[in-house]
Amino acid sequence: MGSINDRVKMGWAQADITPDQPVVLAGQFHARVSKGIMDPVTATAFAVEAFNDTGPQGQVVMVSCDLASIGNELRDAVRERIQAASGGLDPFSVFIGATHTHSAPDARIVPYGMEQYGTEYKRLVSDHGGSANASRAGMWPDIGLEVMSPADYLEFAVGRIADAVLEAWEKREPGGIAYGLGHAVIGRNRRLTYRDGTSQMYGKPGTPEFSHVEGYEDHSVYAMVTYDQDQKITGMVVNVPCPSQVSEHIYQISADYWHETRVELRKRFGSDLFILPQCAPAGDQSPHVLIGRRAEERMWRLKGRDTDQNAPRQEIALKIADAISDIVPYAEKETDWTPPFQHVCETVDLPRRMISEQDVEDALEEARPFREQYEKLVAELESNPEIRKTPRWYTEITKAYRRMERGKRVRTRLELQTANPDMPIEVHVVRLGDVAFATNPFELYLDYALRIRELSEAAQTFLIQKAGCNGTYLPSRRSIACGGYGSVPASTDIGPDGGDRLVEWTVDTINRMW
Amino acid sequence: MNTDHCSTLNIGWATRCVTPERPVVLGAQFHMRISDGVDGPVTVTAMALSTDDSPNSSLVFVACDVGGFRHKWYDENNFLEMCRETLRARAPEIDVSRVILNATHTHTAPNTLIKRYGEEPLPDGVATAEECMDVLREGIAEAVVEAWNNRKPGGVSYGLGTAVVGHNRRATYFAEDSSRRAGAVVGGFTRMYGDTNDPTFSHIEGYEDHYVDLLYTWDEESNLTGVVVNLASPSQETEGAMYVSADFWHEIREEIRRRHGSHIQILAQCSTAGDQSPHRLWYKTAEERMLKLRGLTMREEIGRRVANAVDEVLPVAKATIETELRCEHLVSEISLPRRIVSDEEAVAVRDDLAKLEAEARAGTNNYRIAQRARRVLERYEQQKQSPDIPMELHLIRLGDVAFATNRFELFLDYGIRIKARSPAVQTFLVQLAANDGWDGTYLPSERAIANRGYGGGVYDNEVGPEGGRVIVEETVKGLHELWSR
Repeated sequence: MGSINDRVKMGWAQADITPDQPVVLAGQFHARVSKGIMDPVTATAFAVEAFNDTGPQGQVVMVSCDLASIGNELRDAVRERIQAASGGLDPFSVFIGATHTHSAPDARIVPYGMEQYGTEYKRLVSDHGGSANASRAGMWPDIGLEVMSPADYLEFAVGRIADAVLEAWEKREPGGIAYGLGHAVIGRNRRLTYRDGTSQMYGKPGTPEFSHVEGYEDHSVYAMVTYDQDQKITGMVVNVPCPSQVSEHIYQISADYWHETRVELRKRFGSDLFILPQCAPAGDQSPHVLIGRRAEERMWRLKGRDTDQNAPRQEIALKIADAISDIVPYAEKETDWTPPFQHVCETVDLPRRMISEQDVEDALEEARPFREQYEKLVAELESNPEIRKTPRWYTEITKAYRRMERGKRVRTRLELQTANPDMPIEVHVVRLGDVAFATNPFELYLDYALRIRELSEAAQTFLIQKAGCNGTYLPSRRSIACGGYGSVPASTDIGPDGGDRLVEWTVDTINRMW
Repeated sequence: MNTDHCSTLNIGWATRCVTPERPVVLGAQFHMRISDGVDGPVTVTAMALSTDDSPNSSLVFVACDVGGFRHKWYDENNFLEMCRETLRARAPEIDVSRVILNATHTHTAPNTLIKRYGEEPLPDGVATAEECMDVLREGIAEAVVEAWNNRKPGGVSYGLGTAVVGHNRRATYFAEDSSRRAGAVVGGFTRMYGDTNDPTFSHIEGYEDHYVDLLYTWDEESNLTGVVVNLASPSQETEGAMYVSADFWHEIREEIRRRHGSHIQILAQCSTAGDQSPHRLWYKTAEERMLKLRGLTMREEIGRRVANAVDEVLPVAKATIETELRCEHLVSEISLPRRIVSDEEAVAVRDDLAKLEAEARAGTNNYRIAQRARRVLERYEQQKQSPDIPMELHLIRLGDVAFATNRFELFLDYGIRIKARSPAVQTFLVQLAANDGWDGTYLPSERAIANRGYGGGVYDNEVGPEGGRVIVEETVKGLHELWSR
């Protein structure tokens, strides 16, 4: 493939997707009904159209949402609205990634895990006697939570996201891009391995049994900056291998550290700056400090950061902004006003992680006490509705429900995997100048990202995870060997074979563009 | 913090240049290199700390721009004792057992190991290993005595910064590499500095530590006098160069002094970094591009990053100076189980040695590699009589900060274990601390042993994970004892 464009037009827009009613916040096993808004959650759209003297030659709209994940239903609903609007934007030119904040509204409506089986899931589930109808309560039990349901939130968010996409598309103007690499110590590997060879997510390192941090960390920050024809900065793509989960247990709506980062970047580069945050592969990463916590907390305190909750978020924001400030003056020496552009969107079949009867037994055994607990709590609730007046009355019952359903899902997977051994996923690859962008829907472990980046012929390869199908963890081989949450069958629909295929397809597609 | 046992601090600094005036043999690589110039001086820097009331509180750290501390092979090496003898003669008031030498592990320092590259005479004008050793020993002695004698009341403060300097240098592959070189087993799933632009590349074997532990020293007027900079990377960015150099520590010192004054002393400490290096195994293209855009070499970039970390923490440090704090220094000798050479390994190494000796007779200069094989066979015999080898362990408490030394190129996993279990708020680990006898080999992690490759094989390790675990336990135990007093 060669480049057939000689210039690009780019447009930016942002939408507030903060609801004005309580919602269930996504990210934990137990439900959290939001009480107020710490900071807004937003959707940002960055539109690019390539053209030459004969006309348009390619397009993409990259979208990032302060959400825990992006489901196919959200993506498809946004595309329907785009389809209905005029303006020449192909809905399949749009991809949407999540920053993976754990303090945003839950927008998942498909029964737990069913959409993982692609468009055939409804038929498969019906054939196996299940109900494939999306539930307005989504992942949560129907127990009378007084919230804007996930389905209602989804409709609200879809409208705003689609508006942002169309606005960015409308505002396309000729411009240039610059890009660069910086560093910031933000993401930490969250899986600790012990002397017995097992790993635990967020394990304790201060014990004699602790052996090592299971995997790697990536302290790079990738940035792409866009300029208008007056060479004024219009926006930035900021790609960081770390989910935004500092405040992952709070009961308020928040974009987590991306809020502070946007504030800081706008302080430095202008209040009208658009920022597209991208979470690079970080399935085994987290902003939580497991090694060196005491020293870090001391530093936050001495630096006068606000509170323990916000201190690490402020710290991260400053680190990202410092990295960007360190990149921009140098990157813009090579602003590219005629960047080559290509965009490929394909559905790729990845081999599923095939599970065994033993895996199902293990998962059901793990889920059994939660099933018993759920049934008991439901009975208590029915016999004593006054329980609903207790603050956070729903915590244990929703946790039990989710843990129970997680086990049942493994059983359903076993039943379905024979008929559907591959998982179709939508993947996008974009070339913009010397930079490649490539999406995947998973919480992809870092090892895969390094492989893609090193085999890619792009000067820099921006990888975006959590872009579709409410993807779960895609663990590395070494993490599978160590077990634990995030790598056991119950946590993962796709395993290393699928990861390898994803690497192979992504690298082949990128390299055909160079 | 319990303020009992807090005492006034006295702090002294000194630096000596130990850059030779003649060409030298550069150490630390398998092949011989004769230097063709100097790219920044190699120095030794001493920081002396003591309190008024307790002889157990004194310590002198001496950071040396060297690859290691050896003047003879294996157990004949007593460079540390030679330095201590010199000090006893010049300054008997100094407790030499509390003088700690640490190597920054640059690969472009003068070689001090006699017959490292064989017995052939060096070209005219090239300084011998003995001469270089004498220069180093003299420089260390002068720096220590001066630092000790110019101790004045002052204060310290500390903080934690970050700088991306060290990278894990072990690339792991799906397929096992069965290649093997006589005298240096390199087969396995991991290759040091392996190519990651390879479809069979799986992952980076281990972890990285991008913290910078910083301890600042101040005079009585709260003026900055020096900083201890502790980071997990050997100084080997230009390790294959043909000039004498301190590598990136030169740029770090230059940049800090440019910003804060040429009088500022910098004590360089390499934390546990046996599997680390400043070389990037991945994102090389992107990093090279940024260097070109910035107009910097990588060493200059490292200097900039570390100086930025120093500056970021400085305001916090200036606001938290302590002039009276608890200072204790424990020195002990611990026993480490040897990495046992198996019978099968001994047979294989004998075969290797036979091949190497045949090559040598045919004219190949493989002295260095052959010596490695001879050492393995020597260990095979020694282990029957003495299954353990000693290590001098220094544990220091300075307020809420700990220092802990070890003699090896200790893989990072052990350092992380110590830091996670240490009672100190910050724990400065110092590898390649001088010990007599054979020092400075790799001490690989369990996962490195499993993956093999250079650094994890029989040629490379006198002590293996069993010994690594002893170092961790003894260090943690000793630190907890210090904190419980």
